[in-house]
Amino acid sequence: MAAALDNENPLVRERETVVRRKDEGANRGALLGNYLGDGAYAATLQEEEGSDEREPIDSIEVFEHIRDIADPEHPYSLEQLGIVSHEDIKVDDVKGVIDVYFTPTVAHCSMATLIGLCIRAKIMRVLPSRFKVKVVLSKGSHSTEEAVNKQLNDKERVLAALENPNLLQLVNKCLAPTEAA
Amino acid sequence: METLEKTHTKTIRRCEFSKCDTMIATVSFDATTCIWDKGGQASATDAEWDLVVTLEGHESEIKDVAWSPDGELLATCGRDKSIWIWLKEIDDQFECLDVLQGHTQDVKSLRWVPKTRALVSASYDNTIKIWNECNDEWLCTQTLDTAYQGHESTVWNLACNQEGSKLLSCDDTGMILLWSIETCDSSVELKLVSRNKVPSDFSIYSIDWASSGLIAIGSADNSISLLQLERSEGGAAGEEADKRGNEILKLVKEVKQAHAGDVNCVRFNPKDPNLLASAGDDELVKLWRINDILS
Repeated sequence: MAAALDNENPLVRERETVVRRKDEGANRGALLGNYLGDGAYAATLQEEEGSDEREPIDSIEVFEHIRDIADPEHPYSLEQLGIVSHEDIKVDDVKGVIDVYFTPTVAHCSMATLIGLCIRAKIMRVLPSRFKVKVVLSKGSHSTEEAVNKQLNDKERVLAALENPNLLQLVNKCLAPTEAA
Repeated sequence: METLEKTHTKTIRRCEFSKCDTMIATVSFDATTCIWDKGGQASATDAEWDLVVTLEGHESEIKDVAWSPDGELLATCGRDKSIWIWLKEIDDQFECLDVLQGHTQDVKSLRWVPKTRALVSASYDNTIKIWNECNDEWLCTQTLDTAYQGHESTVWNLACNQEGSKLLSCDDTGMILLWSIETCDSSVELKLVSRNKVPSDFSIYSIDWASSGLIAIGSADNSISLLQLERSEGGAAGEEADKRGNEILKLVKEVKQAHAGDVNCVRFNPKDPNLLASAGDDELVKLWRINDILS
């Protein structure tokens, strides 16, 4: 198995503590306080009490949903491997647009499509369907960038892939860490 | 109302009534095509639909189905890059006449050219192919790619006008190409008339052409638009351009947020061009009166 890895010694990063700046949703509470010292994420974002207004969804919220997705081959999360970061997520809540750019650890990574599929599946499952979601490789990050992007953004192919029991099993395995309480 | 259920095991991608309205063909990601029959009572509205036969052959997802103009043939296409031609036999059985290989990626859509046995297919490989029949075999006689000023992204859907003289193709970036259908030695050939871009860059998943001449498109930006052909001022001059009409598409009306999600399919009622049906990711099927949209 180890010999088949595309990148045997990936660079592993620390789990980042993401702080929402004042101008990006000041009322969402101190996100920092929700993190325990060991990196475990204790609580999800709390809606402001007594408020009927919908909190806009931002890049940090999207990042929180996808940061802990497990890499298909390494025992690390997509965030730890630097595949996703909150700076590479663009969200326009008013227009209903989410663009996620991801960067495989190596340019010939054969798992790029599966990683993209996991990101897409996670967003489809947890965020409102009103969002138009684009999941693409960061520019120049992959040898078959165009082909992978085309496949990941063809919704017919994505839905069919998620109806394939073997693929679905792989996806669910990668998404399992994101579903922990 | 009747529900045809417990047969397909995965997403049903498309369905189409047969030309005499007594049958429905449904195609699914489960790689099968099901033929449903109204029990010979074409006029009875309360007749029950029965599953007549399940056609197997495709390796994976089937993405479109189309009955031939004479009602004798059924074409299916899908992820396995192939197109299958089925002949309806007298006892409601279907025989596979031909399997057409040529596309390099999944085949998204199929249309028969009205009044002929020629077939047009559109694919994820960005091309449109024309298949002409000769003795129950279909040969690819034309591949419309970028060398023909064709599409540069997935071609999602196709529509012919009622006369069978023009074809429209729509793609993943909001382009709609207008082609003229020309017959040469009983072989059908397409020639580009105009390249048209809708204002939004979203995918156009579906296109249909009413007998009234009106055109409808369904888009990934949740909208439905009505369009019509218009003779363009200027443009390419000369005998050739004149013959093809030099026409472009003009937006007549856009219904923004027609669905609360992508619009996956739009189809006019073949008998009443004032009625349009649409299907969306919001899990709704909507019926529209064209008069109401235009007023």
